[in-house]
Amino acid sequence: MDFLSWLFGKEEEEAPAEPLVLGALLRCEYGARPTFLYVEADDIDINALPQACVEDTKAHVNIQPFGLCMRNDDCTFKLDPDDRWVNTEPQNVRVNGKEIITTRSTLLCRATGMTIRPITSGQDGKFARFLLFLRDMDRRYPGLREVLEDPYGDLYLDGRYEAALQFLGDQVERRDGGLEINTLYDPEDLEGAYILAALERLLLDCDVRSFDRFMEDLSITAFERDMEGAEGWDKNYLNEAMLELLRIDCQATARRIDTDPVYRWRVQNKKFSSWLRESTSAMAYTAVLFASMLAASNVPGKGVEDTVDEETKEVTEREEGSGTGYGSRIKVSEQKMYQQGQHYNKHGRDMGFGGKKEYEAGARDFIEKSKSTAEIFEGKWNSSRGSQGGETQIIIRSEGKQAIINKETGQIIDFYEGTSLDGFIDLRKVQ
Amino acid sequence: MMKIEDGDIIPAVGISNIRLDITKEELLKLLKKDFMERFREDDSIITIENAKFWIASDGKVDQIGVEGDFKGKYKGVIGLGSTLQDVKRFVGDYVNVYDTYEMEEDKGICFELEDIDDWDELKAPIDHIYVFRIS
Repeated sequence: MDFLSWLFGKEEEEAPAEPLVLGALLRCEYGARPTFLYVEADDIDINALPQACVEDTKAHVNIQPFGLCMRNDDCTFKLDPDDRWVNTEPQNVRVNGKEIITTRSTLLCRATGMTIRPITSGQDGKFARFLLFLRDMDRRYPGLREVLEDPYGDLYLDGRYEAALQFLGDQVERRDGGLEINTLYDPEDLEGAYILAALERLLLDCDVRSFDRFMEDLSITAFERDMEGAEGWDKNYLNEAMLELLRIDCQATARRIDTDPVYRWRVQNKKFSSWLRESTSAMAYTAVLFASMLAASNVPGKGVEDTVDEETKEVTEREEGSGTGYGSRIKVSEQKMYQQGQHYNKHGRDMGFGGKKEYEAGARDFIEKSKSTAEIFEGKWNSSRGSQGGETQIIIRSEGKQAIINKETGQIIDFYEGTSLDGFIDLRKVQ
Repeated sequence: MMKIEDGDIIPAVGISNIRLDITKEELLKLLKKDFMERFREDDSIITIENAKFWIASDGKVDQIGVEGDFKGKYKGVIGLGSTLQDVKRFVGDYVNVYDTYEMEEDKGICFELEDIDDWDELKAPIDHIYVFRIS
């Protein structure tokens, strides 16, 4: 809410309800930490995350524990969600016959009488990406993750330092040859946390707990291994040169462990940072725990597929407005205009727009500026088949122009000069 | 999610093993699982991974649309990725009906084009094909 709105006592507009998908962040009023919603599915596609429905309430399957309960119990042992989520308004979308749930849905915990609520819809895919990364790690480097998660897990004694080198090499390759080490310290970067955990266990004489300390120790190690003058060497970057340092240092360390019993004892008893617990966000760490649980159990939904770009969209608020205020409540989706190229050719060029993007920007600008005062109609599109056939659309008319928006999705359908309502049926004026 | 099998696209009749005019119950038996259904005022739309099915107020499939990786063909030659240039060349004349393109002679089928950069009606690939009941 901006300052002027607060000053004049204007009520904050409620954000439109978004359907919940796998990875929606949840909070319990009595819980110490948030958790997330897991939706069982045979396959998970980051492009089309599985949608949750009213029956996704099973404790330890759909709903993970919220940590310590304010009643001084551990939620793990008493979490008891109700059988169904409650929707504040009926939903007209169903998944396998069951109503979907949204960011406005609530779920009762029968153990405490408290309410579980969504904080996010999960549609940003953040949690699903965490799961994807962890599953990929287990597939490519079996056993490595467990060592990196164990404060006493050692790569040399467990015989996995080469797997760790491979893991780091693959990360470098994925990032076009290098990544800045300071970016690994971001608590939201789960991959960064594992990379740091691997570096800590490979470079036994380096302290990675702080970036500055790590840089100092790296300089010393590079000097000792004659790497400082090497081509491409920059202690700030995990790149091919640093991988070369790691290979040289790892071989030396492995030889020393084999031949020096005192050193081997030190390594056996070395405790590494609890990096993943201490330095990652609650969501990232919860993903780690959940992935481990999935790996150990038969919970459905173990397959995770590779990622592609994702899109987000807002839903136009459904409002049976009698007129006043209808326009100001219209929310236009970020989705690209429907058939943008075709409509630009038909209308946009004649309207004076220089290109498709300019045309769409013009449509958005027109809607934003005129929606509160324009004449607005709702009608059903009846004049062609295809994806828009039968869709309820909003027609915003002002100064001899009209913009059409799909009422359900908020997508801009068309923008043109003219006031014809041909093609629509069941028309009614709403403003 | 469930997918429709690759098969022939037949205007006003159906796509692959799914026919227009079957009931929603018959359709759901064929789809089995993993579908979404959006309810509108008088009808609903059932969505699977690469197809959509419009269920009219009489409870029957009124339109079927395919997209994505569906590989079936109309007249053995026109499929997703074909152009209107191909349609004109290999099948016949089409007519633009607002945002869709229908065959002049063969009723009960329409195409939607992908919104590519440098959009050209004849060269933009078809990214959706629909067959529908003719009243």
